[in-house]
Amino acid sequence: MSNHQQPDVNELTQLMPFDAEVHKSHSKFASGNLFVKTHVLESATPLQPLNDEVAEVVSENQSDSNP
Amino acid sequence: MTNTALETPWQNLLELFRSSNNLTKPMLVDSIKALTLPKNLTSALEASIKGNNRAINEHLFNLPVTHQEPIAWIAPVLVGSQKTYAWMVGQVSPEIPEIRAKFRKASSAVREDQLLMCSCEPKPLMFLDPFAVSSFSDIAPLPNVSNSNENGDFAIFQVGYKDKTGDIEDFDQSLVLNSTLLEQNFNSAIQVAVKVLSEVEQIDVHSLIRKARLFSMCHAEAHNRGHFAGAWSFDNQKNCLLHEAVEEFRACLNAIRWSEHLGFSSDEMDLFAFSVFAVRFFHYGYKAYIDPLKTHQTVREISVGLMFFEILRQANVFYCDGETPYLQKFDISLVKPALISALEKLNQQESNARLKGVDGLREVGRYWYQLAYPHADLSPEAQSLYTFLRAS
Repeated sequence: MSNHQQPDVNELTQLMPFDAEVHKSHSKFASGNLFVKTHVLESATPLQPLNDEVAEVVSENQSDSNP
Repeated sequence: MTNTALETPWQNLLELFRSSNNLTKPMLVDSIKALTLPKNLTSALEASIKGNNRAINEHLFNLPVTHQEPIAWIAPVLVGSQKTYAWMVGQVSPEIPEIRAKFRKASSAVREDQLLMCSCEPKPLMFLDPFAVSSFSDIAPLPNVSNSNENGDFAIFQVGYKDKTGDIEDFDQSLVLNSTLLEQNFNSAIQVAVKVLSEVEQIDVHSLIRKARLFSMCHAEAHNRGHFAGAWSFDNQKNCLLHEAVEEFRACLNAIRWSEHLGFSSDEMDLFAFSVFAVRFFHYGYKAYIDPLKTHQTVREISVGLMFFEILRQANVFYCDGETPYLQKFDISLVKPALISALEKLNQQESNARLKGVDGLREVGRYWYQLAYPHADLSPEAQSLYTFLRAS
């Protein structure tokens, strides 16, 4: 989840009975904008690709944790 | 063909896949190379093990639809922080020629269709049936639903990859889908649905089960195409968290509209529309609802299922009082009209939203979330059904 999505997360939290934390667990597949990211594995724990994209995941997680 | 009927090289490949976590990368590659397998497959598997999943994806996607030999796929992945391999040995689904013919014939009609207006369709899907597949599922099978988790949980045989020029657009994806899983999800949805239908005879369950593969594959194919149809077909500008579930709902509604052009009889179209509702509400939505671990993905599945449920409830397709956990007086002939009416509304909303950009999408998203979650929660009717199913 990127910073520009925070207002949407806040609003979703108001519209649904789920807290904002759920939106942090995004799959990290970089291929495709939406479908492959969200449909590859029908499992709760997002699967991560093991290749050069791992570096992107680490970097994204680090930026997520920044205030 | 069954797993036990596999010829030796494929059986050996399967054994290698199963023991892949105990082998170094060079050992795994060399062992695969030593097997008598098609050379282009061996090269693609080697590339994938080394981190380039594109070649095996393209290999599988471009197989002739009448391909009879077994096929294989493998990709290194991380689950949590653990390195492992996702893999599969299977075959090309035999229904593909029939599915592709149906969609080819529908092309001119969907271009002229006032709701679909689809002049540019994405590549057709490739469907595979695994004999054996790795499983990472950390969620329990659905209670009292047979075979609900037997075929692993890989829906698309693909992990991230990029083209030479960068990310591959969704429209250009070569999607290789697990048709056994689609069929399994379909049957699971029907099994769950009949538990809450007070008059089961209203639905021709036997016909539905007989058509499980045809309907579930047509649903997937029409759903993927459905993203690229309508007043605002999916593109890079359609990127809004508050609208993601609506985009998913929209693709399913478009799939129902597409079914009018696939050569189905009127009864079949009604059954198909019911099956799309059932798969979204009684399989994906329900499964996500009972999963104690909620993620962005599972919450989206719950939301899409509820959008279907609330549309049908408010259109009086069934009666549900919120106290008795049953769908009473279910009229299957009203399902498709109610959902097409919802599609007309959504199409109009998106036509207007397109002029406003992301803020327009947010308005559309708000409308459908408020419909799915009256008073920011599940309606008492939806809640009573899910609570009953979980306890049954």
